Parts: sequence; C-alpha cells; structure tokens
Amino acid sequence: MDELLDISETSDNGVPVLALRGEIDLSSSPQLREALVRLQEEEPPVVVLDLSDVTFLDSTGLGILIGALKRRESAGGDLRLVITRPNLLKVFEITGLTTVFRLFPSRAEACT
Amino acid sequence: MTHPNLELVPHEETEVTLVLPIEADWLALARTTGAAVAARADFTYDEIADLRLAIDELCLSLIERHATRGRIELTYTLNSDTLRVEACLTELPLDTPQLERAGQEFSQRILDALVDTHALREDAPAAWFTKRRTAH
Repeated sequence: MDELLDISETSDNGVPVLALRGEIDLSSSPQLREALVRLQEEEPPVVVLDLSDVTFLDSTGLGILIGALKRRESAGGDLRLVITRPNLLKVFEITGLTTVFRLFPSRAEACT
Repeated sequence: MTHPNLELVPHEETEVTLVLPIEADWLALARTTGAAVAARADFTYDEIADLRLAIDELCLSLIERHATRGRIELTYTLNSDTLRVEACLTELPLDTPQLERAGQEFSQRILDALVDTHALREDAPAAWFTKRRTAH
C-alpha cells in the first residue's frame, strides 16, 4: 500500500522544519514518531512541524505530537505547529489542545 | 429512451457493508467508504471531514478495547438525512493482544464533538454512531 504520509526535513530562517504531507493515522504515526525523535536528537532550541498539507489527523497522531511536545519541554526546547486547514484546527479545538501547543498560521511566523 | 430495467429508483434506506482485516493500513478504506456514502446523501464537505474522523475513532476505540487481529465489519446505513455507522469485530482469535497506542484518551472526546449519538454495544464487540446532515 502507498505511504499515506510524506515527511521532508528542511530549515527556514535557521530553524529545523518537518514538513508533512498526507494523512496522520494509526498506520502513518510510527513514521512521524521516528522522524520527530531523529530530529530532536540534535536538540535544536526550536523545532517547527508544518502541518499545512496534512489533510487528516486522528487521536493517534495527537498522541504522537503530545509525546514530542513533552520531550521538547523536558529538554528545554520549543515545538511549534503550523496549521492552516480549518478541519485540522478543529481537531485541536475539540480536544482542548489549542492551549497546550503553540499554533501558528504560517511557517514564516513559526520560524521567526 | 431509458430501458425500464436500468432506471435507478432511490431507496428509503441504503446499506453498504465493508469487511476489512484488522490492520492499520486498511482503516483508510473504512474512512473513504464512509465519505463516499455520505456524499451520496449531500452531506457537506465539512460534515464529510467530520465523518471520516469519526469513523476512524470508532474503529480505533473498538480495536483497542477488544482485538488487534481478526476482521472488522462496517455497516453504513443511510436513512433520509441520517448516516448510521456500525463497526463490529469478527473472527477474533482467543489470545489477541490489546492495542496500545498514543492518544487513546482523545477518541471519546472527538466522537462526542463530531457525531449526534454514539455508543459501544454491551452484547458484542461492536460500536456505532449516527450523524444527521444539516438541512439545505
């Protein structure tokens, strides 16, 4: 079966960015967890996760993001999420996670 | 002139059944089928997005409670302006491990927000929800 999630690592304004495209669910979440762990091993002060092209995010994906946030915070770092799609923002709103994560409407704002 | 046998008459109720192996890769098909059924009943784009997520969470909550192997049978029933989705696990091995996954605590909250009614059945490894489309 084709991969549902495409992950590319880049940087913007010196800030490491994971750009995701596709769907984050039970099937693709291990791929996301591995990418996040690998990136955080370098311990950058700020990591940006660009979810602009993510079309689906379920509770498993939320759990992976929470785990990444906890690891970042325990290392004194910052995890920022870029969310532009209303359906994705809605998932964070109904689960009460808009106040837990730092959400940004664009990559440029997240990387400044 | 259309042959009388080829005229499609809309039914009062339409039921679609899908049977899948309990494997993470197949859950996307459960969502896609639900979206296709809802589109036939003129659910809006936003409602279909909600349905896709609700179907996913319904399956996850069932799998993590009962089994990680076997089959999952999904029945999508369209009745007037309401879609009912029931998921039922079948052919469960006796010694199947439970699914351990991140984010389990969010499934019920998501279902509460996105559908009108939902419940786990007491008499079987099954769960269902209903969602009514907005009037237009």
